[in-house]
Amino acid sequence: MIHLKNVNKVYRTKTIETTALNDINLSIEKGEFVSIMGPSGCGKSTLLNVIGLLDEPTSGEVTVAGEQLKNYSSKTTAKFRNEKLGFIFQSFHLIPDLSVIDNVELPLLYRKVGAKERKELSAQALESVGLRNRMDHFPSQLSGGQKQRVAIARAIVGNPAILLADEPTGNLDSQMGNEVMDILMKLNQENKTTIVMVTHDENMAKKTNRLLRLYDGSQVA
Amino acid sequence: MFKNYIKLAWRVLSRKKFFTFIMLFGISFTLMILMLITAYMQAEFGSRAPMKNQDDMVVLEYITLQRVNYDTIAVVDTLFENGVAVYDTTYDYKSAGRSMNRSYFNPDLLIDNFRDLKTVKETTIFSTNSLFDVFVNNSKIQIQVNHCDERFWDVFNFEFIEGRPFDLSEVEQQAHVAVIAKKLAKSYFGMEKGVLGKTIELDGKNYEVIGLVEDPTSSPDPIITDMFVPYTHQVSRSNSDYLGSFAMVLLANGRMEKTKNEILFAAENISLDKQSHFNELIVSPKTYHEMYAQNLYYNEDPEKSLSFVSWLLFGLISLFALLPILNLINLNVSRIMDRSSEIGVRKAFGATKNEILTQFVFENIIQTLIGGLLGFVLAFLAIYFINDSKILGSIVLEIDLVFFFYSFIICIFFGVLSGLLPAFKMSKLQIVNALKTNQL
Repeated sequence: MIHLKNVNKVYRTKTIETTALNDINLSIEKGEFVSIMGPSGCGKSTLLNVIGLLDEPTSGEVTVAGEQLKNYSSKTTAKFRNEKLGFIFQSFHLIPDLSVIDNVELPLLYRKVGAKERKELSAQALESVGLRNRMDHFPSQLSGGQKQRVAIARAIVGNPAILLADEPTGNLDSQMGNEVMDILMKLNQENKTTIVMVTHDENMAKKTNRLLRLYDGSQVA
Repeated sequence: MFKNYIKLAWRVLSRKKFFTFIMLFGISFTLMILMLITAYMQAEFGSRAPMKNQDDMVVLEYITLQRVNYDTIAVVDTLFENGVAVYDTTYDYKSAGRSMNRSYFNPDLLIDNFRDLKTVKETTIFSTNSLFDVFVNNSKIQIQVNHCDERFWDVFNFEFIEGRPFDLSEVEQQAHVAVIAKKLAKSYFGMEKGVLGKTIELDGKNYEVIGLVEDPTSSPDPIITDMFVPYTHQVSRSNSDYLGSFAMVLLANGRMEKTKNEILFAAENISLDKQSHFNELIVSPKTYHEMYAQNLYYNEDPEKSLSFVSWLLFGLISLFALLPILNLINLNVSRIMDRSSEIGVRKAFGATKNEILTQFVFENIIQTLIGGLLGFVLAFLAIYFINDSKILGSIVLEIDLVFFFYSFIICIFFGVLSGLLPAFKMSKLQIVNALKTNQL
């Protein structure tokens, strides 16, 4: 499902060159739930961004869902992200001016799905995270755990093949973190969604199928 | 999609109330001021009765008689030739002083010399307005009276509510007839209609009202008067063969420069009385617009006055429009920068550059439309209060819908532009960087 071959990512400024990813080779199969761990600044989020086509590698090949999107137009990449990938961010990144349901239907909006169908699918996604009764609320009216569940609903509403979660429980207490983790595991088990999750929490990582460890941009386990 | 944009635009407007207030105030206030300026220009220079012919008007307002004294001036130069001083004397005939008299014209001088010019299709003479005290129900009111000829009504196209203008025979026979403005009918007779045949006592003489005209809505002196009577009643119409209390307006048939030149040529042929103290006669024909500009900024050359005033006005309007536009751009830049992580999220979930651009431009159009409509309402209210309070005297302002339409288009253009530039910049931002800039 996801294949990385000799992937490097180097950030260059006028004075400093920082290697964020160093010769990463990685294969993640369909339906796997993989967690990535490592100390701060080791390149976990960079790796996730590269897999999610949010950032380009300096060198190497990235193949996601059978597509190698190097040199593709930004429009094609956007379409690919919209249809194949779902994102969950540590700080939720919900749009404060939109209601819960409007936030959730965002990916469908860019897929040109009709308004009625958008509403139905978004309501279903909210149902699956237990927040159907909050669809007309605004993000500011929700707790941290609820915000992250809305973010999960947004990530899954388009039924993507791959979910990329960047520390989804990082801003939550343990109870809420467990609730969010349960939802992700259920998605993985029931829908066979491939999930790649960056985490600092060993307990959460242990619940996944496979654990990758990064250190200074290199894969160590 | 657009419904979503409208919803979002409305939410953004209602969430950031101070920003919304500043932005809407900027757009609506600018539009209101521009509309007021245009309404004023339309009132003064638009094609409205009785000034429909103003673009063809050449005005002869003042005549200058002057005496220039010429003296022989001797200049003695000292030169040295081989160490010996030599004196070289030159003689010059130069103006060594002058005295002048500037005044309005003697009406006969105007009629005899400028009435039948080739490039002119019509002329009229009229006196400067005279003030008369009259008594109505034991209270004193002042009436402005214009003494004019019968052609006045062809040059200035007043709207007659009832009755008629006076004719040549009534002017020649010094008939005691008058055309009055509606405001005088109201203040003197207490009615706005049905005043024909009634009389107004002026300086011990009764004038019969034969015509009633609408009040003019612009400001030129000869037309904002209360009462018009044949000029032959003006007792002090001349104090010499040249000077008096009359001006002339000539309709130039669209060829202003030719008419001005013809007037100057005709003036050169006026011979001065040998007994006269003066030896030069100067007239200065100017277009109506030049005269207007000269009253605001005096320059001996009326064309320079008009040019200066036009550029000054253009500069002020531009400046007035430019400042809020810059402010709008600045506000939009900071607003869009503030939403960079939203752009990041939208792009992560599949929004293309064009969709991001469209969203922000659409939001700006909605905001600008609201500002524009508020501007229209403000302008409407401001014009109502200005007219009602008569701050501008006789000038009556009207909303110019065509100008409003163009102002609105310009507002939307700048609204769109001010949103487009930062949105374009942000749409190109790397998603990762956009998401890092702030937290939603």
